[in-house]
Amino acid sequence: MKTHHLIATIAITALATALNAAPITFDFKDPKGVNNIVFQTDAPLESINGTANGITGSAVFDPENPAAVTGSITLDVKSLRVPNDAMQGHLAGERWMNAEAFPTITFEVTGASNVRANGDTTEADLSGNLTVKGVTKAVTVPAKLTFLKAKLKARGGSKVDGDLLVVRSSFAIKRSDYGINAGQQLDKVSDEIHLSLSVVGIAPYAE
Amino acid sequence: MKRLLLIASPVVALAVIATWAALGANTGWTKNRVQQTHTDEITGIEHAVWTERWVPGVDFLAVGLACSAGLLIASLAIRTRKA
Repeated sequence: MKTHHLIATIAITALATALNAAPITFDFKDPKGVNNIVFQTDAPLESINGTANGITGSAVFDPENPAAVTGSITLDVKSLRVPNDAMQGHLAGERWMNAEAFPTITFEVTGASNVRANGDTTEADLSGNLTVKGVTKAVTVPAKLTFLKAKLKARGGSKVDGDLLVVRSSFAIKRSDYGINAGQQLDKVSDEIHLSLSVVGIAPYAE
Repeated sequence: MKRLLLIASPVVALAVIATWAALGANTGWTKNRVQQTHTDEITGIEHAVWTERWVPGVDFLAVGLACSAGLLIASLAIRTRKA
């Protein structure tokens, strides 16, 4: 009798855990507008530093199974900002980002490896397809995902509560790989561009 | 005219250097906007807020001092009339 009772308890607990551990869809269109990518590349006089905040996209993340994360992030190229107006004009121009013809940069996650979960924080290598200026390449980037349960209302900007997923990643690409004025002006602008992504996805609870 | 140019040359040079120094002595390129970093509570995400502000750089210095040098050269090119 005691054994039956124990088995039943274990079964009910496992079922309850499975029901609670559903994947959650997070939206990266942040109402507070803090999602951003910082980019930096070396140049002779001073490094070129800029930001971009036109970020949208979504991710499906299961706190009980973080390795199964999927999703995509899209960046509006016209949201790229640098301190100098002339440089801003060149950046959006045809030889560099060609913002008119290629208005978005996207990263589509296809899988996660080397997953190390520690409480609400997961570090992993995210594999995916990065598309810049119409060129798509498979890349793997290190990322840190932090799940913040029931923190949406406390953060402000929402009348309902919900969960947050903070995603951070830093990696480098070569502009020559994506046709960004490839092979040109290497004495003025380095081929390597360092990118640092800091975004939060929101998942409001149903009202 | 010669005297005017001789006076204008160092005045322009001083004005350019004083403006550059007063507005931050920026040793990079001239900037049209600057960024301030803010931190989002709860998430800890740092994000930049851009403010339109003109900050002269070494290109401003170079153009200004070149103008000053041009005024000096022009003044030397003008022959003084002998009485």
